[in-house]
Amino acid sequence: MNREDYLKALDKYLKRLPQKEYENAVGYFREYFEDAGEENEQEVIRELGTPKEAAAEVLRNLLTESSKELQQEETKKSHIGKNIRLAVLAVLAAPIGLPLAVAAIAVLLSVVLTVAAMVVCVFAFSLTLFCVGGKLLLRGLVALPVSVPGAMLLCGLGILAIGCGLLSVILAVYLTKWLSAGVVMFSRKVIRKRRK
Amino acid sequence: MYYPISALLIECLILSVVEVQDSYGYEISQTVKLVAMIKESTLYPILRRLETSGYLETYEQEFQGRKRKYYSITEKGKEQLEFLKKEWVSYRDTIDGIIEGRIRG
Repeated sequence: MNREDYLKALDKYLKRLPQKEYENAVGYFREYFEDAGEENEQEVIRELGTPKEAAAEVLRNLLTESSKELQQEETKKSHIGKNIRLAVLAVLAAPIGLPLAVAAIAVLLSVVLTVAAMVVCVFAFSLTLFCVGGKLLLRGLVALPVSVPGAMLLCGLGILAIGCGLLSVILAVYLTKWLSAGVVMFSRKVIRKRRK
Repeated sequence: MYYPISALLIECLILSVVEVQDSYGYEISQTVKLVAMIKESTLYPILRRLETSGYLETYEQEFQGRKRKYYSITEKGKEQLEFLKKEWVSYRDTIDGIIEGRIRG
C-alpha cells in the first residue's frame, strides 16, 4: 500500500468525527507521512497497522482523552464551587458568627483564668505550709533548752508542715499540667464544633 | 527494551520538548519514541487533548513549500510542566533510592 492510498482509506474511516476533529486528525497523519519522508513510508504504515485499525485506535484514544479532560474540568469546578460557596456562607454568617465567636473566646478565657487561679491557690497553700512549718521548726529549736519533749513536738510539727508543703507543691505542678492539657482539649473541641 | 511509560510521563515529555522550542508532530513523536513504544494513533490524541486543555497552542508555518503545524506551550502549560517535573523528580529519586538500597518502605 502506498501513502496516498493509505491516507485516503484513513480519511474515510475518520470522517465520522466532527468536522474540526476530522480535519485536525487527517492533517496530523498527512504531515506525519510527509515529515517521515518517502524512505520511511512503509515503516510508518507497518507501525500504524491497517487504516481501519489505526482509525479505530485514534477514535478510541480521542474518546479516552476527552473523558480525562472532562474529569479534570469537573474536579476543578467542584473545588472552585465549594470554595465560593464556603466564602459566601462565611460572609453571610458573619453577623451571627462573630458574636458567637467572641462569646466562645470569652468562655475559653474565663476557664483559663479559673484554672490559673486554682493553681495559684494551691501554690499559695504550699507556701503557707512552708512558712508555718519553718516557723514551728525554729520555735521548736529555740524551745530546746526549755523543754525537750515540747521542743520535739514543735520541731515535729514543723517538719510535718514542711513535708505537707512539699507534697502540695508536687500536687500543684501535676494539677497545672493536667488542667492545662484539659483546657487545650476543650478549646480544640470548641474550634472543631465551630468549623462544622 | 522499554519500561512501560505512563500517560502522565508522556504528557511531561511532550510539554518539555515544546517548552524548549516550538515543535511539530513528527519531531515530538520521534523524541518521545526514544523512550516509549507508542503509536501515532495514541500519541496524536494526547497532543490534541493537551491543546484542548489549554496547555499547548498551534499555528501553521511554511516549510519547504508545504504547510506544517507547530505546537507551542502556553502559560498554563508551563505551570503544568513544572508540576509534572516535580512529580517526576520525586518519583525518579525514590526509584533510584530503592534500587541503590538507600530507601525502604
